[in-house]
Amino acid sequence: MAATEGRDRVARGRNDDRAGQPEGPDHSEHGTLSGRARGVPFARPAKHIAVVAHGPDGVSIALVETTRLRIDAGLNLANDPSDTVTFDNVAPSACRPAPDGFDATTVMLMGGVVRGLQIAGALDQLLAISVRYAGERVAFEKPIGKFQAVQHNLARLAGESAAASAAATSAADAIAHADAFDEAVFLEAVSAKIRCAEAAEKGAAIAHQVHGAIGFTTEHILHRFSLRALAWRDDFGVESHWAVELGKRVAARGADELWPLVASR
Amino acid sequence: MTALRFDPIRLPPECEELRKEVRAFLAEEIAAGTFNPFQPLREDADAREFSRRVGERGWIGMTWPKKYGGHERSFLERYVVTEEMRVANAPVRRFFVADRQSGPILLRYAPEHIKMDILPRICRGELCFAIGMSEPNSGSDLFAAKTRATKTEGGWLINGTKIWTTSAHMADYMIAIFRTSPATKENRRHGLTQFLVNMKTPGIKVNPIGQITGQKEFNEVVFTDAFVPDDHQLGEIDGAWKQATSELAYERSGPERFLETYYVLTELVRAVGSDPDTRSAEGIGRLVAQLHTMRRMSVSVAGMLQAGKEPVVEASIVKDIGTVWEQQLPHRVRDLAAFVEADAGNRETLENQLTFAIRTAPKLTIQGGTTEVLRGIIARGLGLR
Repeated sequence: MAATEGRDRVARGRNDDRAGQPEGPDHSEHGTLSGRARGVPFARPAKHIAVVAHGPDGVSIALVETTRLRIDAGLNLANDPSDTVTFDNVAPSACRPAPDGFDATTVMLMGGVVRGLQIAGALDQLLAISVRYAGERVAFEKPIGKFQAVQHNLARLAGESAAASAAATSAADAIAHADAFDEAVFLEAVSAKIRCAEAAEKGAAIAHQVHGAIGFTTEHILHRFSLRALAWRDDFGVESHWAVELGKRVAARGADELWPLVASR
Repeated sequence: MTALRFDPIRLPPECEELRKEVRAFLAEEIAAGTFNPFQPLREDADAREFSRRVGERGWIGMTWPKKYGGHERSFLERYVVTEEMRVANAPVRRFFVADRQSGPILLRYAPEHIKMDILPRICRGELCFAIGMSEPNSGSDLFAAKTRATKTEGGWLINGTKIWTTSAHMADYMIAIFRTSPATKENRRHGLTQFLVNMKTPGIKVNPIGQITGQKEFNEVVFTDAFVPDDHQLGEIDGAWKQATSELAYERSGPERFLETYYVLTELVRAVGSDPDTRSAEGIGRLVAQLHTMRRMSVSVAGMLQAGKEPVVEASIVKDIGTVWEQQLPHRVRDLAAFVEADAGNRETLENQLTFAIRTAPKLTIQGGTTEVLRGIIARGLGLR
């Protein structure tokens, strides 16, 4: 989805609407793009942006040079670049029709799983850092990791880290083996979105609690993981939006189809 | 600290055939009136025959050697049978403990003639087992158990009391730990021995204890000079502490650890109908995402057991997360059901189920290892203890 080499970076134009409705650029009759995307990570240093566009002929995927775009710089919760990109009748460098069944929702689901994996990685680090700190920091004449309250908090952090990892890797595995983005893939991807977001909230809070004041500083590395884990929840649609979508699909299938869907995974 | 892994194990294709068979079997049993899937509180009066029919299908002792009446099937296949039975609220209580942990203990530690006698009967669904661990003065602190086994001619005399012993009132056998020696200064866990106890032995008195759900599932069991023969000793004298670990991996991570109140979620979905409002949809979506995640973790642990590992920390995590979730589930469902139409078709069923589930909830984070003990095990796995 995003290349990671220096400035020659392809960033994906994201949704205009924080609730996750795909309202990205439209592909007008003259083959140009118009619209606005908010919360685009690292748009500023990128040379190109890949965009999912809607037009009279359906869904297209376009590559656009950023010099043709208006980019308003912003920062997200973690102080990482999160920019607003405006497309004003911009001609793309390349444009192709999207494959069958591939649309903005597909990209959102995949992006959500990527963020889930990132959150799981961050929680892994938060756990390792917190366990190490608890073994080193002495209070009341012993390492704070010897106190049961701290041990139990770290056990809960381990649980949240495990849950995020399990959810995200399961979803990634499902997508890797799927022929189409069907109900099962939807369940996997959205579950990862939701569960990783919950884990980010609980896990970040525990990691900070274990660290006390020092974890609250910019100098300490903790925030690079905790605030990012929290910020990544906001990308590719917030979990409340996806929970509503999943709940609607579950209800539409009916009560007796819920277990068969869950058990199919 | 070793990294925790929950690989995305998938159930193999043969599991899906098995799942269909189990569902068909359960549908027949429901149609025949053996049990009501909408009613988790029941007397289990017919469970004896149901257990035999489950045994006939080959679904008890699934992973055990055929030599002992087992079927040499995989942990993943067993997983499928377990989760389908739980979701249907099938009356599995009679055979479940024997299948899940008592049989595996006998397989590892019992003399051959005991195995040949008892294991096939478990597999046929003929036997009910209880677990004798907790006492009035020791539950979580398992190794503080005091019920004594005193050596005598040909065996041991048991004196003392076990408590919270689920199914002791109907059990054929109990696997219990008794004190054969005092603990030592070096090892406070030394001195307990695991034994097989025939519940028909004279000197055993079972007193049922009423629970706040209205059930009488557990008991006080008083031993007065109850004789246990030498060949009923399981494993080393004074060495039960070495045997507990693998038992816990079996006991801690299965689907029964997050599905015990699941039925209220199905009924909530039924109650909100096919076009729910945003609040209901969001609530259901979150609960399903959490459920799916726990199941994936639990299947992953089953995969690790299948691979011959002893994922004690991973299993403890699954039980911790699972039991907290199933405990909170009826309260979440109650919140989401608050604005459901009073005349929704299944409203009364849902209310009855919520009443039972909410009364059940407190025990879920206590039975089989409290949350506090589990978190201590996880902390040890993280290198903190």
